[in-house]
Amino acid sequence: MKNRKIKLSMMFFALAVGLAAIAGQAIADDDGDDDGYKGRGGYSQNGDDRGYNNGDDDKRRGGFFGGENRLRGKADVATVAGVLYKKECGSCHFAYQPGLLPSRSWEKIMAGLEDHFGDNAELPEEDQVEITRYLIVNSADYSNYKASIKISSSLGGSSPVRITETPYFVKEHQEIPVRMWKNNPKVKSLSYCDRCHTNAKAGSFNEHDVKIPGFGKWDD
Amino acid sequence: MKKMIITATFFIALGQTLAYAGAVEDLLSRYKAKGAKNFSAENGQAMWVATYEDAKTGMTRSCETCHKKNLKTKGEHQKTGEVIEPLAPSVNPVRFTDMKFIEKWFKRNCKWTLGRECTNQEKGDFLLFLQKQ
Ligand code: HEC
Ligand code: HEC
Ligand code: HEC
Repeated sequence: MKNRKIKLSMMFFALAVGLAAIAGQAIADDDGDDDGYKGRGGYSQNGDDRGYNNGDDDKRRGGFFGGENRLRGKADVATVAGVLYKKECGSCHFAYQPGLLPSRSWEKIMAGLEDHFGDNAELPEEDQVEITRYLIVNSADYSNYKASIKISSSLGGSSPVRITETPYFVKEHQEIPVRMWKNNPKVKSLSYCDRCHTNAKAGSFNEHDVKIPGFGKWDD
Repeated sequence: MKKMIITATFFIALGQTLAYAGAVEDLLSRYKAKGAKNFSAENGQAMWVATYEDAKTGMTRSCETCHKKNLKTKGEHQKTGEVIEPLAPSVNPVRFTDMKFIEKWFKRNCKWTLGRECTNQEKGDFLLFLQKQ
C-alpha cells in the first residue's frame, strides 16, 4: 500500500514539473534496479564502501521516496534500498533488512513462498528471481554491519528461516517478559521488529530507542 | 479532465507499471477471452462472504478474515495485524488500478482462503462486486 501511495505522490509531482518528472522517474527506477545488482558494491567486503553507497542511494532517491537513512551513522544493519523488495516483502510485515540473515536462509525462504509461515506470499517468477538476487547480494554473508556480523557468527552451520530463531537474536531478547510481546495484542510476536524498535526502518536496533506498545520506553 | 490528466501522467511516468482506471475492464475482457461468461456481482458477493474450511488446519477462512465486513473501512491481516487499507474504490481510489497487483493478490488470497486458485469466472465476479463498493 505504501508504495502505491508513493506512486500517487509521484504522479502529482509529475503533473507539476511535466517532462522533468519523466527524467526523474528514470533516475529513480535506475536506482531501484541497481540496488539488486551492481549499485551497492556487489560482493565488496569493505564496510565503509557499502555504507557510503547505501547512503548515496537513499539520498538520490530521497526526493521521491523520502530518505530513511538519516541515522546511517548509528545503523546496526544496512537499510533496505531495493524498491521492489520493499514493495513486495513489506506489505504484510516490516521489510526485514537483507543483512539480518545469511544468503542460505534467504534462498530457503524464497523457495517456499507458497507456504510462507502459513501465509501465501507467492510472487510472479521474474519478481521472485530479482528479489532473491537482491537478498543474496545484500545478505549478512557480505555485510560488515554490526548486527550482520553478530548474527552470522552466532549461527554455526545452521540456516534458520527466521531472524527470531538466530541465537544472537534469542540472546538479545530473552529478558523481555512474554506479557510485553506474545500476550500483548499490540505486538503479537517478536517478528514485528518495528513495533518496538522505533528506528528499525533506518537499520538501527539500539536498545535505547525501544518503545514497547502499551508499556513505553524500554529501561534495562 | 483532471482524471484524464492523472491517468495520462500515470501512464507516461510509470510506463512499465500498468496502473490506470481501466484495469478492471481490461481484466474482465481478458477473463472473457479465456472462456468466462457474463459476470455477476451477486455471485461475487456470495463468494466474498462465504466461509471455507482449511483442510490442513481446520481453520474457517473467508475473504472477510482480513478485509473485514465493511469494505469502506480498514482491514487487518489476520496473522500479522498489519493494517490493510479499505478495498472500496469509493473511499480508496488507488484500488483495482494495477492488473499485475490484482492478479498477484487473487492468486495468494484464493489459494489461502479457498485452498485453490480462483477461476476466471470467479475472479470476474469478485471484481464486479468489489468495483461497485
Ligand atoms: C502475504 C503476507 C506476507 C508477505 C507478502 C510476505 N510475508 Fe514474510 N511473513 C508473513 C507471516 C504471516 C510471517 C510470520 C509472522 C509471525 O510468525 O508472526 C512472516 C515471516 C517472515 C520472516 C520471519 C520473521 C522472523 O520471525 O524472524 C521472514 C524472514 C520473512 N517473512 C520474509 C519475507 C520476504 C523475504 C518476503 C518477500 C518475498 C515476505 N516475507 C513477504 C507474511 C508475509
Ligand atoms: C517486544 C519488542 C521487540 C520486538 C518486537 C523486537 N525487539 Fe529487538 N530488542 C527489544 C529490546 C527490549 C531490546 C534490548 C534488550 C535488552 O536490553 O536486554 C532489543 C534488542 C535488540 C538488538 C540488540 C541491540 C543492541 O543495541 O545491542 C537487536 C539487534 C534487535 N533487538 C533486533 C531486532 C529485530 C531484527 C527484530 C525483528 C525481527 C526485533 N529486534 C524485534 C525489543 C524488541
Ligand atoms: C490472509 C489475509 C487476506 C485474506 C484472507 C484475503 N486477502 Fe485480499 N489482500 C490481502 C492483502 C494483505 C492485500 C494487499 C495489501 C493492500 O493492498 O493493502 C490484499 C489485496 C487484495 C486485492 C488487490 C486489491 C487492489 O488494490 O487491487 C484483491 C483483489 C483481493 N485482496 C481480493 C481478495 C479475495 C477475493 C479474497 C477472498 C478469496 C481475499 N482477498 C482474502 C490480504 C487478504
